[in-house]
Parts: sequence; structure tokens; C-alpha cells
Amino acid sequence: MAKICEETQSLIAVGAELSSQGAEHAKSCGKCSLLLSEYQSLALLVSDSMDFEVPSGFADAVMNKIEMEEKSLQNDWLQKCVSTFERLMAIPQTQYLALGLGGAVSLLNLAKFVFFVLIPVQ
Amino acid sequence: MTRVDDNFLVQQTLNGNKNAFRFLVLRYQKPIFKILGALIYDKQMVEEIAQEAFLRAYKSLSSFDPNLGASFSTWLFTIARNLAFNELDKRKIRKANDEKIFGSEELSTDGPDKDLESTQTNTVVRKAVGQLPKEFRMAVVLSCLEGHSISEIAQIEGCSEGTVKSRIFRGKQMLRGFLIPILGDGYGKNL
Ligand SMILES: [Zn+2]
Repeated sequence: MAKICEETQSLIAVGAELSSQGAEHAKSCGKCSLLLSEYQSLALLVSDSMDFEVPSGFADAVMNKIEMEEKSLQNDWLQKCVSTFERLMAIPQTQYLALGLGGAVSLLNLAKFVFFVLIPVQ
Repeated sequence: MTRVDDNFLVQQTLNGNKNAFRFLVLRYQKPIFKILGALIYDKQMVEEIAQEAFLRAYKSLSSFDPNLGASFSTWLFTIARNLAFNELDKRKIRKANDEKIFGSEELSTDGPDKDLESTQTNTVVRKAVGQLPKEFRMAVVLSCLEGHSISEIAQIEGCSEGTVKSRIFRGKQMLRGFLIPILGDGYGKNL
């Protein structure tokens, strides 16, 4: 077998792209052109037989799934924030700290009322 | 009409345009179904894994880098392939699946039958593909689907180009061996 036939046929057999020279040869050589069309038919047959019908609305279903996933991620994040807050508030030290902060803010407000409202009026 | 570049659609999606991703789904849904169909034959499972593949692709889209050499389709097909293998491993149904799907019986070799309907031909071809060793099956199907180069298949399969060539060569030889006695030299078509 001629070297060009050997090279062309080995490329055809693995479905690799033929060079322009190889493609020209495959057109003119009887053996190579027969092998090429046989492999092309085989590829077409396999491709056609694997033709699983895509259900109608598949793309919409995918996009809905993405939407739902994103929403549930957002909800998860919110849920995480709430549960972290709940866990923190269950600790006595955090409760004292919150109480202390609340008391401090109230005292500050009272002081503000006394010094900026009551005293200037008198 | 010119085809919008995949990378442009990826960028648009990353910028928050979900409709761009919808275009990608519409563009690749058919090949994804073909690839998954070659590995698993359960229609519902194919649909579930196809959905999951697109969902995973969407969620990890920011990790897709076209500058690394792989095209979006190669990247997407790799996700689908890995999901299919994981799912099959997890459910441990690979063997049962093959028997259920492709039939454990031998292919009939009664000689060429010119009256075979195309659906019957498809069944014969699917059975023949199903009889290929698993490592050959994916390579052969990918090489038969339009537009997959050897290097792309190697990226999807995670092996060398030499291995891919050998798998395709041997797989196709086996397929010819299965199909020619049943469908004839021209596989029921005029060459
Ligand atoms: Zn030749």
C-alpha cells in the first residue's frame, strides 16, 4: 500500500481531520474514498441512533431549576443569619452584653434629654 | 445569521444576563442528550443528569477560563460525562443498566436486511455501541458527533490523544464487526 494511502486511512479510521493533501488524495484514490465514505456513514449512523429526543421545554426547565436554586440559596443565607443570631443570643454573656448595651443607650438618651432639653428650658 | 460566540454568551451570563445562558442550553441540549444517551439509556436519568450538568455549569461558570484552551462545549461535556459516571457508580447500576438497555443477548447476524426500519436500525446500532467496552464507547460516540477533534475528546476523557485514537480505532473496528454482518457493507445506505 502506498504511504499516502496508509497515512490517509489511519487518519480516517480515527476520525481525525485530513490535511488538504490527504483530502485531495481521498477524493481521487478508490480505496481511500471508499473507506472515507464507509466511516462517514458509520459516524452518521451512530450519531443518528444516539438521537435522544430533547423533551420540549427542557431549556425552560433548566432555567427554572437555576432560579429555584438561587432562591433557595438566598433563603439559606437568610436562614443562616437568623439561626446564627439565635445561637448567639442563647449565650448568657451575649445576653448580658446586649442588656448592657441597651442600658447604656437608654442612659445616653436620658442624659441627652436632661442636658439638651430640660436644662436649656430652665 | 451569524452564530453568537459561546465565550460572549458566557461573559453575558457572568454579567447577570440569564437569557444568555438559556441560549447556551438551547445550543448544547441536543449534543448533551446524545452523549449521555450513549452512556446511559434511561431517558429519565438522561434528562436529570442533563439538567444537573447545565446547573453545575451555571454555578461554576466563573471557573471556566477560555484562555486555558478548552472550549465551552468541551468544558460542559466533561461535566456531563463526569456526572454520568458518578451517578452510574453511585447507583451501581452500570451492569444492570447495560443489560436492561442494550440487551444482554447477542446481536442477530442473520445477514443484511434491507427492510429494516430506521428505528430498528437505531436499536441495532445502540445495542452495538452498548456492547463496546465503556472506555471505547464515549470516545467513539464523541468522534461521531460533529465537530469533536481528537484533542477535545482527550480533554473530555481526561487521557492522552494517543489513547483516544486507539480507543476510537478499536471501537470503530468492533462496531464495524457488529454492524456489517447485520446491516451490510453500506450499513443499509448506499455508499
Ligand atoms: Zn489511497
